[in-house]
This record gives sequence, structure tokens and C-alpha cells, in this order.
Amino acid sequence: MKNLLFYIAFIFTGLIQAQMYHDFPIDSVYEDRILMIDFQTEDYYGTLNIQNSIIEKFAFGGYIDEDNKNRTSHKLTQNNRLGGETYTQLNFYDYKTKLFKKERLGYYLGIGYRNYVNGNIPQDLFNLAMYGNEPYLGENMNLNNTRAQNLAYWKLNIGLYDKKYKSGANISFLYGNRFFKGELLNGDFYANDEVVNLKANGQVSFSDGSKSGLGAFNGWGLSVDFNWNIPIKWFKSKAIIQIKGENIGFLSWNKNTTTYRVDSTYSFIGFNVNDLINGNSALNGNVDWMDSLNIQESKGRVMTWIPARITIAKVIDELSDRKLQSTFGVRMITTKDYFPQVFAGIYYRPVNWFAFCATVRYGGFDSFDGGLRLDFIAKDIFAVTLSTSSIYGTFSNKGYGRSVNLGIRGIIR
Amino acid sequence: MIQRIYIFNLILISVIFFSCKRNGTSWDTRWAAPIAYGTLSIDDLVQDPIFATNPDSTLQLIYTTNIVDLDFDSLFKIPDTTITEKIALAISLDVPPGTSFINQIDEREFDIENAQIKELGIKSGGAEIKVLNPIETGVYLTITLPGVQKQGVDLEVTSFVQAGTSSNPTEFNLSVDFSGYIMDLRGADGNSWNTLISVFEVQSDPNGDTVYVTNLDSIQIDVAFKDLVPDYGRGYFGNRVLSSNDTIDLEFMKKFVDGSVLIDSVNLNLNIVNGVVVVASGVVNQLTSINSTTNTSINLNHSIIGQNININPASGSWNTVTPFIYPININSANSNIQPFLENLPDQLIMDYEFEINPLGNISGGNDYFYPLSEMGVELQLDMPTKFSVNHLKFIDTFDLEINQNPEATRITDGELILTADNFFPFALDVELIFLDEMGLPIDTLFSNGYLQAGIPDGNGKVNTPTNSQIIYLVDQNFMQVIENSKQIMIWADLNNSSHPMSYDLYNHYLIDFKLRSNIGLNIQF
Repeated sequence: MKNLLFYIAFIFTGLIQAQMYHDFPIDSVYEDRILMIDFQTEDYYGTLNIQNSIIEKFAFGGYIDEDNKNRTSHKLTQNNRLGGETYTQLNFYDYKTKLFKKERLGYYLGIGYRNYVNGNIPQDLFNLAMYGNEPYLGENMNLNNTRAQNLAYWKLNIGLYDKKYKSGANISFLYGNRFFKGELLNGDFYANDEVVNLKANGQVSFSDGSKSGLGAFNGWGLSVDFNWNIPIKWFKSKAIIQIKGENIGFLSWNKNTTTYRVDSTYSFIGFNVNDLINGNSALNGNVDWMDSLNIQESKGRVMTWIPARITIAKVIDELSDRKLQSTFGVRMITTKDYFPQVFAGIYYRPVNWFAFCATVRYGGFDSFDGGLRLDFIAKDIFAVTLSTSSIYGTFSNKGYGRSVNLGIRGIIR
Repeated sequence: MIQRIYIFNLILISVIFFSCKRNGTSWDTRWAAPIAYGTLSIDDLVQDPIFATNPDSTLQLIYTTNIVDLDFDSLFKIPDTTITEKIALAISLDVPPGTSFINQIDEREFDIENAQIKELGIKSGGAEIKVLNPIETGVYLTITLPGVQKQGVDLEVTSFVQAGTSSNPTEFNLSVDFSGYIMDLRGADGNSWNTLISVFEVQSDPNGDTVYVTNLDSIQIDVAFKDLVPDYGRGYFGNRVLSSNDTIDLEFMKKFVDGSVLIDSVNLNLNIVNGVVVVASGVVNQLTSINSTTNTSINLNHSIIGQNININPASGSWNTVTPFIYPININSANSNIQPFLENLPDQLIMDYEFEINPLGNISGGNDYFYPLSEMGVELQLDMPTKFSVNHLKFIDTFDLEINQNPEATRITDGELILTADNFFPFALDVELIFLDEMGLPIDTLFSNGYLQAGIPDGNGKVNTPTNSQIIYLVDQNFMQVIENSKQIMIWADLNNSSHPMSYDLYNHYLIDFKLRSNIGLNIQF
């Protein structure tokens, strides 16, 4: 039952996320359209070395047994990037209005929700968190480059577009919902029977925890998106090259954002019982760890760049008379934990109402996987596309990510 | 349609989110960390500085305490006394402004039972003076106490009292502090005792009117001496008998709750101290060692018990007063002091009697006491720390306040490991008892063994500590116990495996210990 819920949620809501290589195929039909409604979700996550079997436990609960921990621990290095995204977007394209009296220039409105997660979990941090320090007594645990980030925000956008090739741009007001960012630039942990040493240089910021839920307002921001679809000659036919930039902007988190900074080395050898005997009880709950670790707390606004997504790809041409088309491209998301991703695939449309696309890719938050996409097209009125960019991971606990995407398009003529 | 899908999405998010939270993610970890460390010497264990080091580095127990402490003011009380004077003219006449029309000298006697005091120094206390003026002009009232002096100056108080009437005299109140004054109580002739001279002088208001004062217009003055506590006295202190049956608590001994100790030798002095220049006598009727835990008591058997002792006066005066000390030596040879102490008394009961001036006024009224004069019985224990213990149980309690969330910290199992280097020639078993706010035990951590004793050489001296380790197992309820505990009681069992062979304690003896944990934690969120 839980698995069923998991997959349903994955498809429809995007608790965890997937990578969408292209939107609906590009068509150049627009003359008789009045309105197009485009709804898309992308739900994906990817990890370089942490298997789905553990990620699933974190997402949906359950006991992580030793075997599960061991399988992942043995694969880890000090660089174990991970990340994911929930992308939900609903756009309304007005075809009837001719902006500035230009036949092909329309506008569109949209609302969406984004939830980014990315980070890096060094092997020693994973081991420390999952096994405790007892197996590693006498060993230095390197926690350098530990980081995690979570940004969640609503997006209200208005933009202009070219009705024929769907090129366009919009500006968005961002409604900051939730924020967490922590980074340990340098960190060491060492323990033996007599001492625990902790060296830490880093900081953590997070939005006001008293306001939670999808409606919580904790900041605001602005962003722009653009999408440039360029028709080109492609051998004896034509093709469309897409240059797309999304989420290029910032969020300013409000003054209730809390930041902790630490740059200290701390050693703990236990409480001195002689202090206890002399009346300076160490067991009275008054130990100030913030002071001991030299952690400084502050509150105030924090500005963050949101992870922008840049895609350059040869995309599918909806109106092409070729049943078989190729697609390929490269994508970048501007976080430290995203490796530039290249992908390539073939698109086959045997009949007008159905098409599928198979891809392979390398990079992203994880590394290598395949993708599969199914399109169901009801003439030029209604279309549904269902895809995954992690076909192995989505269906296997041994994979390193999962991805399910759904697109629904309706057109009113 | 699209809106419906979106609402459906949100509902599903909520359902799955909350269903996940219910299940929670969990895994098991194991953590090892130091918890506490310390070095416990005999001074740390006993806390009171009662040990001295002998030339051979052995420790000598030197413990001194006053088991009877008599404040002289408890023997010699000055009762609260009120002197009421009504002063009036002999005849009726007109009194012009600024006229001194009354000047009256009186003698008043303090009722000091059975004593003839010539001179008294006042440590604290004073007098409340109330004046009722029926004369229809204001008056200046001057009260002088000749012979009541501080730094050679008589005590004199002048106050202005507003005009009154016969039917409605004006009341005036005044407080006078007598601290630091010395009172000459020999009276006007210089041969009396307990007698105070007072002078009352009344002058009419220089700015008032001439008034007609009759011989019935008497000014009433009440002088109430209150809470006078002397710290110096001269005279004859009377024949007084003070008897008491005192219980003396030995707080640190209450920590020993069971077991036995064999003491090699004891040397104890009971010093009867007389810091008062007065002849006295005394008798110790009974001295009893009481162990309230085992409910056993042992009476001291010694020749001094029940025997009357003549106590000479102290010598010197003021800052040079030297008390007379009557020492009573009590040792293993002349008494049962060893079993008396081996009873591990946490209380002593002493039944005694002191008599001041048993032969009457043989000093000719020249008894003295001074601010530094003390009278009492001092116990002085001076003995080598050579003993043997047989499962001597010792407890001590410390406050404990650790705010933990037992739900967040789920211990699955674990152990606390105590490692120690022990010089002491006895083994040590330590158990930790957690107490709630009512002081009732919640849980006890039992050890799996003893911290091993230091091994003495041929001379009975431990030169190298013995290293050993004991383990306390903790279970999943441990954090709940910590959360609910307000105190931790340390219960220790000291045992000499070669009992009754006794060993000296040396000044280098200590226990150097470290406590660390190895705990299994189930992480959940």
C-alpha cells in the first residue's frame, strides 16, 4: 500500500522529483487556438552514491537496517552529491490576444511551486550519522564540504511568447515558503575513549520555523525565465534547437531568518567530578553548548540565488512528418551539487495519437541512467505525457534516483 | 479538470506526508564518549580539612569540634527592666521661658538574679524611652546616665517635647542604643551593685510663654531596657548550676551507613575550657556514641565519667584572656574509645553539669568575663589513619538536573565504563542510585565488580596504583530515569580484602578515574 501511495504521489505531486528533458513537443500551430492550458509536474531526485533503498526510508519512513547502511557506505567517497526537485506548474496561454497588434505575440500567466533540495554528504558524515562514532574510535572523521540546501517557493509568472514557436520570456514574483542552507567548509570529528574533538567552520541559516505549511510566507523574490526555440535545417529536414533558462533570480528571506556561525575547535574530555564535589555541578543542566562551541547566532535577512536551470537541446518537432526523430542536449542547474548533464534519445511516433521517446543521460545529481517517455495525443485538443528520466532507479531500490513527470495539455479552439 | 487534479495533488501530499511522519525513519547507532573524570583524594572524599601529613607521609586525623559551647550571656541574663519616673515641682509657680525647673537624680536597681554586678559591658540592646508632658509649654528633657559611658563620656540624651495639657499630655518616644557602653552599677555611693543612676533635667521652651506649673503637673518618663546582652562583666556572678543533656550531630559521619571499621589506635582529648575569670566545677555524667543507622549506642567508659572536676578561673583580661583548660585524655588503654568510635557514631550524647562559684563569693566580687571568654567542652581527635574496613558503606548525594527528551534520545542498550587507578588499599564498589524529587530511588546502576584495591608492599604502603575497570549496564529506560531524577546518590562499599589487617593512609593516595559511555541509540524522526 505504501509503495502504491509512493508511486501515485510521485506521479501527481512531486514529493521527490524527476528531470524533464523537454516539454511537450513544439508545434507551430496557433491560428485557430483561443487558449492553451499546460500543467506539468516534475518530481525527481538523484544521488551519486546513496541508494534508493535508504532515500526511500528517509522519505517514507521505516527502519534502516545494517545491510542497507552497509550497501551504501561501501560506495561512498567524500563527494556524494544529491539533489532533487519538486516542480509543479500551471500555465494559461492566451492565443486570442494579439499583443501590440502582432499576430504571433501572445501572453501567458502561470502559477507554480518549486522545492529544491541539494547537498553533499561525505562518507565520514554518513558513517558517523548512520553508525555512530563507536566503530570509528581513534579515527579522524573528515566532514569537509558537508552541505545541504532546501528552497521552497511559490511562483506567479506573467510572460510574452511567440505563438508559433513558443519562444518567450516571463518575469515571476516569488513567494518564499521555506529555506534551509547549511555548509561545513571545514569539519573534523575525532573521538577515542578519553576525548571527543570537534573542529567546525561553517554556518547554517533557516527561515522562521514558527511559520510552516505550504502557505507560510517567509520571504520574497523575483526571477525571469526565457525559452528560445530556434528552427534550423537538420540534414534534409528541419529541427528545433531550444535554448531555455529558468529560475534566474533571487529570494530574500525575511528578518526572522536565523543564522548560526561556528569557527572553533572544541574538545570534550568529560565533566570534572572535582567541580561537582566543590559544588559547581556540571550535572545541573546549565552547560552552555553554544558558548562551549563558540556558536554565534544572529537573525536577519538572507538573500539567496535560486538554482537556475539552463538547457540547450534539440527538441522534438510536433509537426514533423518524420516518425523517428532524435533529441539531445545539455542541461545545467546552478548548484554546487549538479554535474552538467548530457542526454540523447530517439522519439518515435508510430501513430498520430501515440509516441514514445527513449533516452540515455549522464550527469545531474546522479550519474548514468536511461529515460522513457510516453505521449498520448488527442488531435490538437488534449495531450498527456508521462515520463521518467531514471528508468532504472524509478523501478529499483538499487538505483540512485527516481523520476516521474506528468504533463497535461488542453487546448480550446 | 486541471483544478481538480491540482487539488487532488495537494490532498495526496498531505496524506502521504502525514502517513510518513507516523511511521518515522529510524536506525541504530552506537556512540562512545567520555562522560566524567576526576581525582579523588582522601580530602575530596571527606571534604573537611581534617588530615595532616606526618613526616613519614602517613596521614594523621586531626579533628576538633566544640561539643559543648556555652555563651556566657546564656548563663548571665539581664532581664528587660522598665524604670518609670514621675517628676514634678515641689510647689506651684510661674515658669518663664528658658527656665530649668526640674533636676532630679534617681537610683534604680536591675533585678539580676543571684548576682552582684558592679560593671557591665553591653554587646547589644538598648532602651525605649517614652515621655508624657502635661505642661502647657514645650520642654527640653535631658536624661543623663552617669557612669554609663562610651569612650569616657556619659550617656546623655536631650529631646524637645511639645506642650501638652493635664488632660491630654504630649507623648514623645525615643530609642537609645546601648551597644558598646559600659555601665557602672555601683550606685551613687560606689559600694552598691546592680544599681543604675539616672538624672532627669527639664527646661522650659526658651521661645515659649511663661506658664503656670502646679506641683501636680508631673512629667512621666518610662525607660524600658530591652534585650541587653553583655559581653563584659565584673562582680560576683553568683552560684549557678547549668546542667544539660546535649545531642551533638556529626554530619559527615551520617554518610557511613553500614559495615565496620577497625581502628588501630586512638588518641582523643576532651578539653573542658573555662574562659571566664570565675571558679567553677563540672562533671561529665555520660558520653554516648550513637549510630542512628544501626541503632546502636556505646557509652564511654573512662575514669572521668561521673567524677567532679575543679575548674580554675581564666587568667588575663580583655584581649589577653587565657582560658583555663582541663584536659581529659582518652585513649585505647584507659577507655573503650576504640569500640566507641568503631560504632561509627553520627551523634554524640553528652550529659554534663557545670557550677559557677561553687564555694560562693570567694573572689570578693571580682569575677570577670570578657568578650573573648568562652566556656565549653572541646573534642580533639588526633590519631593515625591506620585502620581496616570491612564493607564499609558510604553514601553521598548530589543534585542532578539534566533536561533530556527521552523521546528524542532512545537508548537501546549500553554501558558506562568506569576505569580507575586506585592507590587506596581497599577495593571499592560504587553504585549509582537515582532519586526523584521526593528523594525516593527510581533506579540503580549496579556495577559488575569492584575497583581493585592498591596492593601494599611489605611496609603496608601502596606505591603503584592498581588499574581496574567496572561496567554499568544501562537499558532503554535510562534516559527516562535521568529525566525524572533530581538527585544522584553515590553508594560506595569500601572493603579491605585482608581485613582485619590495618593499613596506614598516605598523603599520595588517591583514585584517578574516568567514566565513559558506550551507548546504543536508536535515531528516529
